[in-house]
Amino acid sequence: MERFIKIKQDMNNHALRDYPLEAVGIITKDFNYIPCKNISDNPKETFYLDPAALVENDGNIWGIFHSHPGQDNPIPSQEDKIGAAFQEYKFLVGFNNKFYIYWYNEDIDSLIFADFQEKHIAC
Amino acid sequence: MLAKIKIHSAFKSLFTELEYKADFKKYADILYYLGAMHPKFQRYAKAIEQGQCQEGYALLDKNLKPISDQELFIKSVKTDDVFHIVPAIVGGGGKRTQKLLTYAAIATAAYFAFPLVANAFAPSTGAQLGSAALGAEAAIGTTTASAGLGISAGTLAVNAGLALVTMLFTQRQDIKQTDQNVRSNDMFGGLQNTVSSSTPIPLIYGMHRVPGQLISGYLDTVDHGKDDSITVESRFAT
Repeated sequence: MERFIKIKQDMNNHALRDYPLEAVGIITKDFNYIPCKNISDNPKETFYLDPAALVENDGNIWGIFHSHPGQDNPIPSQEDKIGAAFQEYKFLVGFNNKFYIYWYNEDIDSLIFADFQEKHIAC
Repeated sequence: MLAKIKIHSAFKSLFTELEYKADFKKYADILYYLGAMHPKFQRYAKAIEQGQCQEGYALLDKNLKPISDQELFIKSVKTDDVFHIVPAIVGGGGKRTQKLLTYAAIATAAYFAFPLVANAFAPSTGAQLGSAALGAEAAIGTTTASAGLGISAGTLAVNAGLALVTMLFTQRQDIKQTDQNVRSNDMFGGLQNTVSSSTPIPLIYGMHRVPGQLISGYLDTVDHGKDDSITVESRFAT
């Protein structure tokens, strides 16, 4: 339970700190959150995870988080489908203590999302 | 120069190894090599280019800095350089990502045909996304030939672009209004332009011979008596 709360806190703090820009970070396999650089040309509305962070944490990435700053209900957008195509990672999106986990379903060519819960990091 | 390519684990299914060493001259040779020697990666890159696959990848240098399209063709590989192929994780709040993706698509598609032209249009993010789609096809030929083709095709496209810009900013004159209706002479018809104005003409260097241009001409009759034969003199100025 503690690590679940800590991840949520870390992601939320990062999202608030980077507001109004989109925050992006990596969740390692031992469930630590690493804030990363968003190198998008338009970081207020898009994110592009600094590829250097992917190299530095290669082999130790559980999931990737990004924020939807200012959104009351930060569900994944249609555009988040692109990054989610890398199915070996879990993807999280959120803002202001609301977080969703989402994944790409190849059969219906769409994103599926659900509330981020402790059970998701239990495995 | 002998350089190392490290493959990110997210792409392990596309390669048999996660590290390769090969001899390269320019950065662009790396992508040609990947396309030519690794058929799965070639198919992947082509799928991105054709929009069948919504992923992307980036090429990083040894300092983990993304390599731009411009650097691909300018920078030379040094001994013991290390390059990384990593996934491009992108997305957004849905407001402007579509534009970002459009750029990426343009960059990728244009790059496939005209690598250098793509540089001009692609913003840095878009350019890095899936830019390697290029090499996949180009790599089938030799590296040098592929690069050469890209440059000349790119130059052609740039010229076409310049012609378009010139046309937009140059007002073409209406020939009928300026010449035929206003000016006249004593010949059988009005003066007519044989070339249209505002159109570029070739500039020929060196010695060359050109035909004369008829400017005007007239008939001159001489007074004569009853039994004299008529003399008609024609003169044409050239």
